[in-house]
Amino acid sequence: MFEKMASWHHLRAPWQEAKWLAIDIETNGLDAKGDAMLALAWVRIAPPRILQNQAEYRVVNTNLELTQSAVIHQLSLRDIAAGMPLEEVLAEFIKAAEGAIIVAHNAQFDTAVLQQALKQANMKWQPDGVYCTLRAERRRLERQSQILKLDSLTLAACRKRYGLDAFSGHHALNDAIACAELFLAQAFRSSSGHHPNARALLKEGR
Amino acid sequence: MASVSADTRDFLANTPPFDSLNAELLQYAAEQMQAMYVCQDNRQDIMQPDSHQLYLVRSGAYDLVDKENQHLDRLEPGDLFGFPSLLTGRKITNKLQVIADGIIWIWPEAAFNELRRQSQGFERYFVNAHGQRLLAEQGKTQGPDWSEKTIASVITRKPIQISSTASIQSAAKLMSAERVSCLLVVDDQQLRGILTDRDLRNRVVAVGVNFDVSVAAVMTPMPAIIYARDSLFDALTMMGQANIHHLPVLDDNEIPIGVLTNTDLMQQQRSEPVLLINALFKAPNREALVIEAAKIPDYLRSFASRVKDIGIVGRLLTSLTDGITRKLIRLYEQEHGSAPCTYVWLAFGSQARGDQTLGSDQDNALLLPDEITDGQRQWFAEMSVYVCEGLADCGIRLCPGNIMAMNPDLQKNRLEWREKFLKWIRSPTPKAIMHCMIFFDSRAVAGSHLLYRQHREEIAKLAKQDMFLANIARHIGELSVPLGLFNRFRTKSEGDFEYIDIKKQAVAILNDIVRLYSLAAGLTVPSTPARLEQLKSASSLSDKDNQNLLEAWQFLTGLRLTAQMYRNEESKIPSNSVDPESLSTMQRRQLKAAFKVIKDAQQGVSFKFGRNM
Repeated sequence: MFEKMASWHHLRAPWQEAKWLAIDIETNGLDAKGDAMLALAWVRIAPPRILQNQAEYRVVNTNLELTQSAVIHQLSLRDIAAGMPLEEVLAEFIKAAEGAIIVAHNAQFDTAVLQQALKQANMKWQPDGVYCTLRAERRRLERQSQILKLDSLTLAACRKRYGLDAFSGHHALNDAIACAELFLAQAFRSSSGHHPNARALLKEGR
Repeated sequence: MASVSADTRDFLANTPPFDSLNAELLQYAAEQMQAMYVCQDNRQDIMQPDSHQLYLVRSGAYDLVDKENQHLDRLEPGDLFGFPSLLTGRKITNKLQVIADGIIWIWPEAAFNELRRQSQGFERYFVNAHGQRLLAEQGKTQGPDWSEKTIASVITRKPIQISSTASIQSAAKLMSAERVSCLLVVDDQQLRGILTDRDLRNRVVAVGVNFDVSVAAVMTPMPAIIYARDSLFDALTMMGQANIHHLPVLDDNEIPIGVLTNTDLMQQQRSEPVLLINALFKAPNREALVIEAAKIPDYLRSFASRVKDIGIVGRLLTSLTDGITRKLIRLYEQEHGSAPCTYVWLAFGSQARGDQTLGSDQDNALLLPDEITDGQRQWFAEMSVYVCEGLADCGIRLCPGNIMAMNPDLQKNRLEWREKFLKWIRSPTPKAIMHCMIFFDSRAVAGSHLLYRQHREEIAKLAKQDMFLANIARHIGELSVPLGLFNRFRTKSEGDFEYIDIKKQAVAILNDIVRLYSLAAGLTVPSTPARLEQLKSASSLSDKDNQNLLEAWQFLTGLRLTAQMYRNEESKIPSNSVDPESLSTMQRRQLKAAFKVIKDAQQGVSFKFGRNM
C-alpha cells in the first residue's frame, strides 16, 4: 500500500526528479523465455546526469552452455565461470533498482529476461515504470510520418539522430550507458518548453 | 567501486592528458566520472560559480563565453575546460552556450587533485595548459641526440695559442709542453692561421727552414673555421670533405675558443649520418656526387623515423646542402684552378636559417671583394653556373625566382650589395619588403668568413631604420594566420579536401616576426632559434613571448617535416600542408596554441614597430 503511494507520487513529480535506471542484459540467445541471463549492467540517471561513477556490470555464473550468441556478446566461458551466482547479482540489482523507473532499448525484452531470472531465483521486484527508448523513438518518427526502415531503430541509429556518436555495442555496460544518453536526449528534446512529469514521459516510451 | 565501460576507458585513453595515465589511474579516472547531457534547457546547471570541476566534451558542440558574452573558445569532442578555476580556486565566471546538444563528462575536484598528485604527466599538462604553454608539452622527456649537439658542447679545452711573430722553435716547444698537435696563431684575439705537427714536418724540417723564422711564414693562413653554435653535423661535413684534421672554433665575436680535432669527432660519431656524409665527400667527381646525393631523400626518411626531434632533419639537410656546395666548388677548382681572389658563397632563406626541407629550392649568391677585376668576375660567373647546376642535379631545385649565384645580378661586390640593400631599406614598398626579406637571412657557406662578416655587420647597421622596420611590421600584420572566430581552424579547401599550409600560413610568418626583432636588435645570425636565443637579453621581447615563439617554431617545423616525410605520393594536399582532421587531439590543440602565439606576436610587432609609420 505504501509502496503504491510512493510510486504514485514518484510518477507525478517533475521527470528530472524521478529515479531512472538504465539497464542492459546479455543473454544466451534472443528468446526471452528460454534463454539465461549472462550479464546485467545498470547505471543511475539523475537528469541531466548519468552517474557513471555508480555504474555496475555483473556477469552471472550459469551452468548453461553458451549458444551461438557468444558471437554477439564477448563473454567467454572463463568470464562466465568467474561470474557471481544469479541470486547475488539480483539482490544487488534490486537494492539499486528499488523504486526506480527502468530505461532500456527494447525494454520489453530486458524486463522479460529479468522477470524470468527473478522467478528462477524465487525473488520478487517490480519497477515503478518502464521507458523503452526504442518505442519512444518509433512514436516520434511515426508522428513525423517518416517511413521506417528495418534498421532505423537500432540503438546506434537512434543515437545518431541526436548527434550521439558511435559506441561499441553488445557489451551490456556500453549499451546501458549508450541507452542512458539516448534517453536524456529524447527526454530533453521532447520536454523542451514544458515540464512534464515522469508519467507523461513514460507514455512516450511505453 | 563502479564498473567502467570499455567505451569510456578507450575514449579517455585517447585523450591527452589522460593518455599519460597508467592503467590503474585510468581506471580510477573512469570510475570517478559522471556524464551530463547538456542542452539549451539545462546549460545553467553546468559550471556553477562555486563548483570547481573538470569537464571533457564527449559529444556535441559548445561555445565558452565570458560574463560579457565574449566568445572565448569553441569546444568540441575531446576538448577540456573548467581547469583554470580548479587550479586557481577562483569563482567560475565563464558560461557555456550550446551549439549542439551532447554529453559532457565531469570530474569532481577531489578526483582531479588525486590524479594530479599521482601523475606528473597529468599535472604538467594542466599547469602548461593553464599558462597557455601547451607547446612546451612536446618532447619534454627527450634527451639530446648527439648530432644536435653544438660544437661548444664537445670542445674540451681552451686552444693553445701563439702570436704570428713568435719563432718556429718557440711554437714547437709550446706544442711539446702542452702535448698538442696544433696551435692557433692569434694576434689581438683575431685568428690569423693554424700550425700543425704536419706543417712542422712538411714546411719546416723537410724544407730546411730556419727555426728562428716567424710562425707566420709556415702556418696555414686563413684556415677553415667553425662557430661554437654550429652543430656536429656542420663539423662533420667540413672536416670530412676537406680532409681537415683540426678545425678552429670561434665564438660569435670571432674570438677563438677551441680546436675541434678528428678524435673529438670520432668519439661522437657512432651514427649513420657520418657514413652518408663520408660517401658524399669522397666522391671523386661530379657524376659520383650526384649518384650519392640521390640517396639523400630515402636516407632522410629512414633517419627521421629514428630520431626523437624531427627538427634535426632540417639541420642535417642544410648541412648536406652546404657540403655539396663546397664539394662542387672544390671540384670546379680542381679543373679550372683555384679562385682568383677571396669571395663568399652566400646562402639565403631556408638554407641560411638551417630549416631546409626536401622541397626547398636554391637561394644563393656571391659576395666578391670591392677590388675585383672583370677577368676575376668571369671565373666566378662560370664557377657559379657549374655549382648551381650541380646542386640542381643533386636534387636541390633551381630557384624559380632566379635567386641564384649564377644570376649575374647576384654576383656583387660589397659596395654593390650595400647599394642593393640600401634601395630596399630606403624605399620599403610592400613589394620590395616581400621580395627582400629572404636576403636578410644569410650565411657564408664557403669562402672568406671575414669578408662575409664585414658585409653582414654593415647591412645590420643599415637595417636599423624605423621606417623600414615599420613597413616590415605592416607587411607582417597583413599576413593571415589560419585561426578564425572562436578559436577554430580556418582551412583552405580544394575539392573534397581541406588543409592548412603550415609553411606559408605559419612558419613563414613566425620567421618574419623573429627576423623583424633581430633586425631591430642588429643581430647577424640567420636561424630562428639562434635569433631567439640572442634576443633573450633584448628588452623588446619578453622572456615568456620568446619562449612561446621558440616552442611554436619547433612544433610547426616538426609538424611540417613530418607531414612532408610521410606524405602519400597520391595525396592531393599540397606539400607543406596538413589536414587538421588527420591530426591527433593533442596535435590539434598544440597547432591552435601555436597559431595563437603567432597571432599574439603579430599584434605585438604592429604595436611595437608599426607606430613609426
